[in-house]
Amino acid sequence: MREVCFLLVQDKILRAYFGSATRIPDERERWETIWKHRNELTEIVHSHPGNFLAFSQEDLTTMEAVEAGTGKAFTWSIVTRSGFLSRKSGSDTLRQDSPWWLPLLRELSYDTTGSAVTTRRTPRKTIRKRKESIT
Amino acid sequence: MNVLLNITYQGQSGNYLVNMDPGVDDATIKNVCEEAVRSGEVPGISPALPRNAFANFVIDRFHGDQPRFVVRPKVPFGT
Repeated sequence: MREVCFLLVQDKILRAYFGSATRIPDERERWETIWKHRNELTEIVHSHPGNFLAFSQEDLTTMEAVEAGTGKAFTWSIVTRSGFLSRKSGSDTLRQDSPWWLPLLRELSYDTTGSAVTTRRTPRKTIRKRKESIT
Repeated sequence: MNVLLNITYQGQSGNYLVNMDPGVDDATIKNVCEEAVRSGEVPGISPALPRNAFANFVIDRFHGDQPRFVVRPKVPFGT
C-alpha cells in the first residue's frame, strides 16, 4: 500500500506522486508544478490506503498553505478503497461519480493488479570442502 | 550577509533583499517576511497580510555567492 497523489487538469493527470502507506513527503518540485499550472489545475487528489476517509491535519494545513500561496480555491479529494470525498471552499461532498482516473489511483495505491511482484531469494548454500590433514 | 528572500503569497511573488545570518532559523525568516510584506517593502505582494500568514510555509535555502531563500507553501500529505 502507498499513498498516491494526482494533480489534475479537468480529467487529465498532470503529475503523479508516490509516497509510503501513510505519507507523501514535501517536495519542492510539487509546489513548483502547482505554481506553474495554478491557473489550469482543477483538482488535487490523493489516496488514504489505510481507508481514513477524511482530511488529516497534515492535509488541511497543506490545503490552506497552497490556497494561500496561489490565491486559488482548488477541489481537494481523498480516495480510499471504497470512498471518494471532495472539499472545495470548505464544503465537503461524498462523491458518487467515477472519473476514469479513480480506479487507476486505487490500483496504484493498493497494488490490486498484482504487479507488485515480490521475489524471495533462496539462501545460498555454501559447501566447503574441508581438507583434513592425514597424519 | 545579504540574503535574497523570494516570497509567494496570494498568487503574487516578490523578492526582498535583507541582511541576515544565512543560518537563521525558519521561524525568524517567516517573521522577517511577514514584517517586510506588511510594511510594503516587497514589490509585487500586497501588504494586506493576516497574522502568521506563513505558518504553513517552508523555506528552501539555496546557498552560493548570493544566498537565496524561497518561502513557499508546504505540500506534503499524510494520514
